[in-house]
Amino acid sequence: MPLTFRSLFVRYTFFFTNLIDLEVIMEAANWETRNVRNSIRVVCWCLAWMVTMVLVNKAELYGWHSSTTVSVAGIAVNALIGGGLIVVFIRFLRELDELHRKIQMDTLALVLRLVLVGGVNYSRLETAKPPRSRLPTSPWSNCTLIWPV
Amino acid sequence: MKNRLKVLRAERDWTQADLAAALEVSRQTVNAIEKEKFDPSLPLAFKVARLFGSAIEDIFIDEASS
Repeated sequence: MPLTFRSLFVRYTFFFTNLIDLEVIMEAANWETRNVRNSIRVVCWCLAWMVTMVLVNKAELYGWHSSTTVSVAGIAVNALIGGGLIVVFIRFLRELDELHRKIQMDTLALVLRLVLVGGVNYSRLETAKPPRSRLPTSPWSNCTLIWPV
Repeated sequence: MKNRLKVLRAERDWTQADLAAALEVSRQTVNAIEKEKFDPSLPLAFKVARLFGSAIEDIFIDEASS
């Protein structure tokens, strides 16, 4: 093939297109890797927060120690890890793809409402302390689901 | 919102994954935009316009004005 302007153009366009493709693939890989890394971070912080919370609660419940300082220190560590979890989750949300962020935010809003309604109902039941035989029997009623627990 | 994303992508013989990689979004997002289930944010719309070398209004069509 003679070295005409057209052949040079085709050859270099192909070369640069491949380079651009490679760059795009690298960026996509970085973006996806970052997302996976953020998700793993959120899961790890969540686990750490849960483990410290359970340890602090069980230590007090079963009297593993008698020192108030240890209890306060445990609660402080749990709160610090909770703060870290919030920061990591905010970072995770910020770096998410915008469709996934919308899905996450919609789900969080729904869960917040459910927890609020469930929590208020539960606290009202705690205050009212109705006899169990008088509780509604519908399987769909949150009273039936929450009260025995 | 209607858009010409699928047509523009087909003209360049790109897959959804190629476009998603170029826009730094997930393939699901590209699919949702093409199927008009999700409207992109303004920065993403500008990014799409820049990528295809067109104006935003040439790619995304406001149904209220058409």
